[in-house]
Amino acid sequence: MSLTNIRSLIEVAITDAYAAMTPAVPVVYDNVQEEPPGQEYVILSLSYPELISPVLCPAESGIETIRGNVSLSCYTPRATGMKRLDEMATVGITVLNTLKAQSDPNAVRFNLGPVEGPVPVLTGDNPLALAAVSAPFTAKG
Amino acid sequence: MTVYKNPDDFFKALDKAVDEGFSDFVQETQGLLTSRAPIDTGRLASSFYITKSQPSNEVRPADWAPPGAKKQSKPEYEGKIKADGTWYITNNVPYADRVAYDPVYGKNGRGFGAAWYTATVNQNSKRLEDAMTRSLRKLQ
Repeated sequence: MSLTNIRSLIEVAITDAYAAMTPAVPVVYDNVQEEPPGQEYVILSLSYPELISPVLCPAESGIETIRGNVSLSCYTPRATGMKRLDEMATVGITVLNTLKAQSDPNAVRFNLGPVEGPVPVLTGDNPLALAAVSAPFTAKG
Repeated sequence: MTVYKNPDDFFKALDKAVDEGFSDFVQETQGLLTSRAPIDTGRLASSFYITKSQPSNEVRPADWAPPGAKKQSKPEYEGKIKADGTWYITNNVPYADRVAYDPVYGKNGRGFGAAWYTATVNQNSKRLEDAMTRSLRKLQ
């Protein structure tokens, strides 16, 4: 089990996908920087709600199942329409969805669950509009 | 092992087990959201309401507690929760969606940091499965 390999698989794929957009969109990772890198960016966040599952047989201690949660928060300036937000959310979902079929140098096997979103958050007086997508995943590697 | 003398007895026991499992799941979800939400006054964390058939329009008042008070009180559902319809867990605090989905505002989540909300709700199907398994195992 390597959480580093799983994180690497996701972060590299997401970074490449947003770098290929026009204009390129910077990605902010967990525990890297506090200050947002401008008016348009994506925050990628990974968490692991469950690493070990109990098994039916009481004599066994458990099986290794890495259950994670991936969240993408896409920001654009407020009052500029939904097109860019939708594009950014779609890029993120599409890339995550293709990871299960992608060969990984670290042999991580990744499976994405049902995606929640994109959820637009436009209320309040924040100068940035937000679209959030998130999904559970299972991974081994 | 219990021997059911007719199918009705078995299906009654099964219905009861399903209702208990579902009730455990709904209350566990409300509890997790309450305990994982970022807290300052405690208004957001204390505003997850359980309702049946339609979302709640209730919310803790704006003067719920002074800043930093961390006053947390989970709204208790008075009735019986059964797997017989559509159930909602609603939060009507005006800034709830920002804190739930925006890592800038949700970073002080008390479980999974900024992902306190998505990491909780995205595991709902797994937790429902676990709650049902626990409950159905009690059927003898």
